[in-house]
Amino acid sequence: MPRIEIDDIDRKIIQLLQDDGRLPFLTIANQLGLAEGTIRRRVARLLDERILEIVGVTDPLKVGMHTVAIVGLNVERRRLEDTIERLKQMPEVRYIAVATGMYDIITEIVVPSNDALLEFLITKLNEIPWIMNTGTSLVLKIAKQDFAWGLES
Amino acid sequence: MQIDDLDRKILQHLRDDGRVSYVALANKFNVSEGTIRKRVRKLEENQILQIVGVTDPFKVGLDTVAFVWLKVERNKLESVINELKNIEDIRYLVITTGSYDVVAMAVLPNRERLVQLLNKKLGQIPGVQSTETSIVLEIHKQIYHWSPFDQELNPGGEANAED
Repeated sequence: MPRIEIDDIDRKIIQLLQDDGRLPFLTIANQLGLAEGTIRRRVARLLDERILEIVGVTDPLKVGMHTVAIVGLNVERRRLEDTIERLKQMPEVRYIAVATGMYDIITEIVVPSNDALLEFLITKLNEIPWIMNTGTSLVLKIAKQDFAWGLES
Repeated sequence: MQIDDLDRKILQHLRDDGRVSYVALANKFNVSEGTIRKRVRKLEENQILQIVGVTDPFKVGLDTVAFVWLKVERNKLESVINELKNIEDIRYLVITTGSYDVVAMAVLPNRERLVQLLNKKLGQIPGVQSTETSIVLEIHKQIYHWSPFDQELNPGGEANAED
């Protein structure tokens, strides 16, 4: 079971920041009836513990990363951890999840071109000997990208 | 919208720290704070940039993350996408090539909600032929720092006007 490491105040702060990452701490403080220092401290903790990240998110297809692919991998079960470690080092891999279903690992790959994707698939992935099978879905369009996932009360 | 070097530099700093001070950026790039503010607003308006707080779903009590791979009747692709977009639990939605036409990532508070999503919602959309579900057990990497700025990923020097 996941550890829930946040309380209701954290939750409210996160909700506000999910909507606008640059909302001034003073505004948050006023809205929640707390001191600005409290907000600052709590946000610092959330960031430190990597519960929250405040980032500028771009649509890769709009900033010159023309190729996005979802690549599913089947790997030798006992080498799962080793495979993940290798994948984590690769800058092209921006998302790695261990999953049930057709693939053991689901990754998202973001690169500047189809050539770069080909290079990644045949050279870099091939260097990981425990990968038995891959399935590549080339992303044609990102229809939705929403990070404000439900902290509904 | 075409982005220029100043936009790229702004994006590069914001991707690392969404709350970086505009005054600091203005000083760094020798432009006014108002310029930075205007550029950021324009990038946001054109949906090139969103500055947001992102959480690890498992750390905030959202138990269930799933990838759903969908096969869709070609001529209904657009209407299916529109329906899927409106489902709140679906957070990331792409049209793809390959064995499936659409991949959706859902983040949900529990398994029950996933069952509802699959049976009650996806099952009711005309044009959805079949689905395959992968439940995410662990997230090992989640970054939004994809960018045309990293040396090793640089497409060809065009975005390379860094310092």
